[in-house]
Amino acid sequence: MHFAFLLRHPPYSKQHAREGLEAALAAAAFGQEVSLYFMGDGVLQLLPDQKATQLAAKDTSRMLQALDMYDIENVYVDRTSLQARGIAEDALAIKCTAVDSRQIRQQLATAQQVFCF
Amino acid sequence: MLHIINKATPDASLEQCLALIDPQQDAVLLVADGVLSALASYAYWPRGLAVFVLSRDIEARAINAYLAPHIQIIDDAGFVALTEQHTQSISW
Amino acid sequence: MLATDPEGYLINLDDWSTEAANTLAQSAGIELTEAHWEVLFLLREFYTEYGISPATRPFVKAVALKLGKEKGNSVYLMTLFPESPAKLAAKLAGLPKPTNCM
Repeated sequence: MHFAFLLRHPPYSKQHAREGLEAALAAAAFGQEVSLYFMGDGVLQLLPDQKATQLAAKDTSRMLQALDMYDIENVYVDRTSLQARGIAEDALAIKCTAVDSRQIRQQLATAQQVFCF
Repeated sequence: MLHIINKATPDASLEQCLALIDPQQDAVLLVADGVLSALASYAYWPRGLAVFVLSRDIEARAINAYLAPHIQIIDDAGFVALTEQHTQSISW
Repeated sequence: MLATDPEGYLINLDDWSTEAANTLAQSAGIELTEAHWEVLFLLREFYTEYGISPATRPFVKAVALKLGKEKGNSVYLMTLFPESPAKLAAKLAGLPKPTNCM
C-alpha cells in the first residue's frame, strides 16, 4: 500500500505537525510505502535549528531526522510554498525533493490513501 | 479524486485544495462550514468544476438563495454515489 | 519506589538510572547482561537524537547500524527482550512506550 501524507501546518500549531509525522512513521513501521508532501505553512516544519524547548513542546524537526530509520525516502516539498515564504530549497533540515502542484497531483493519484494533516 | 472540505473561508485548506485540483477529473464536496465557500458573492470555485454541497448543510443555514449557480445540491444518496465514482478522496 | 504507568513505563523519564533499569527488568523477569545494556544505551541515544521511542523496524535498523547485523535482527533482540522487543526494551531503557507500535 502506498500512503501519501500532506503536511500543511506549521510546527507547534496545536499538534498537527506532530500527529502527521507520527501517523507517517506508524504507517512506515508497518511496512507501508509512505510519501510525505510538505506544503503551505507545513514547509516551515523543515527549517533547521528549531528550539522547541523554548515552547516546552516536542521537537518535530528531530522526528524528521528519523525518517531514514523508518525507511521513508519519498519526501517532497511544494516549491511554490517555499518561494512564497522566501525559503531556499537548500536551506532545509532534511533532504527533500522540490516539486510543483502538478507533480504532487500526479503522485497523489498513485496513492491508495491520502492523509491530510 | 474527491476533495472534501469542511472549513469556511478564508482558510489555507481551500487554496491548497484549489492548487491540487484537476478540474477535468476531480470533484469537490463541501460539508459543514465548508458550504460557506459556495456563496455566489465569493466566486470562489471556478465554473466548470464539479462542486457539491449536502442539502442539510444548506437548509440548516438557509443559504440556498445565495449559492453560486453551478453548485450542485445533493442528498445522502448523492454523497454515496459521489464516493463510489471517485476511488480516492482527500479530507482537507 | 519508581513511578510507573499501569503498563510499567516510567512516568518521569528522569527517574531512569542503571539501578532503575535493574528494578524494571526484575519485574519483567529478566536479568540484565552486557548484551542488554548495549541495546538499552543505544535506545536512549536514539531517543535523545530523534525524540521518539522506535517501533520494531527502526529499532532493528538502529541496532544493525550501530552494533552490526548479527545483533540487528529481530531473532537476536527477541532473545534479549522476549515477546515484543521494541516495547520491552523501551520500558527498561526508561523511555515512553513506542507510539507507533501495536
